Amino acid sequence: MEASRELESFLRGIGPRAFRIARLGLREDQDAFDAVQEAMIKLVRRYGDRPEKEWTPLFYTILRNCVHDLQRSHRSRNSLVAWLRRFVPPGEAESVELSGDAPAHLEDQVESDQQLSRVERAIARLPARQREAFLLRNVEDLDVAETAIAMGCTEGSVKTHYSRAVRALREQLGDL
Amino acid sequence: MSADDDDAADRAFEQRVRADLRRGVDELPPDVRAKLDRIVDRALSPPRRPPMIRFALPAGAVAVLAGLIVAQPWRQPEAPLAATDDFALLTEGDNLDLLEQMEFYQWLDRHPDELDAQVAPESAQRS
Repeated sequence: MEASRELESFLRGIGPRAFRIARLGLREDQDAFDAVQEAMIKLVRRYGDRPEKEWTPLFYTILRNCVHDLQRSHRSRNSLVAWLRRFVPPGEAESVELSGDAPAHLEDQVESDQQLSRVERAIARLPARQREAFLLRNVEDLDVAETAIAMGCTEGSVKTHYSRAVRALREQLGDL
Repeated sequence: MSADDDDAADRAFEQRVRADLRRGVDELPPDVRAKLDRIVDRALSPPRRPPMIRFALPAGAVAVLAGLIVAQPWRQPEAPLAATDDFALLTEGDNLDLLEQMEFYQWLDRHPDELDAQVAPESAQRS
């Protein structure tokens, strides 16, 4: 199947925003790249022939699943590391690392802007559904109906998650 | 603070956060953008078959074709049903003798006088 020019333009446009959203859920650049790549490949191969207006919610549905899969695999890995640490005498626990790379912190991000870092840290601390609703509405500019499709829930749920996210962020960040 | 004020404060807060988030997208470092471009190129390129499948498919096709070519001469034509007469001919002992001496009878058929010529002198000698 030859991808259309519209599809290419869509992917190039959505890539940076999708990366930002995935990065806030996964906290690792490489994981965010992996999730975006998988979502793009699946969109092209499975839904490339669907009408253009369906691409955005479909893409974020796929991306959301990719992010969840990676989060689950990280949780499994962390559980295994924690379990292995039980068998290591105190003081030697630091040497038990599967890959040797510590989880990156948002402080390591390339942005020098302190306010953006604060905002992103606060968003990263939100429960997953609230974070998704907030980011899809504010980064991707999806309306409530599109956000509901992307999140696989009702429009009512989107509104609930969104308003809770705003309240939680205001509590954390004040009025900026 | 009234509900309306609260809503207005929420909207203002959202606007500020939205502006920050969009700035974050706009200010993505060039190396990240370049990597995203490569990801798009990869997503748009036609899927590559795994090496195993790439080689196994043509090899399998060649093997099947070779098998068909080799098997062709050995294909047995479908044997016609033996007629009941032929079957009886084969099962009777006398008829088997007949078959064994078929060449003699064929020769005799072609040379009807030969046997008479050989028999006549013998009977003359006896008499």
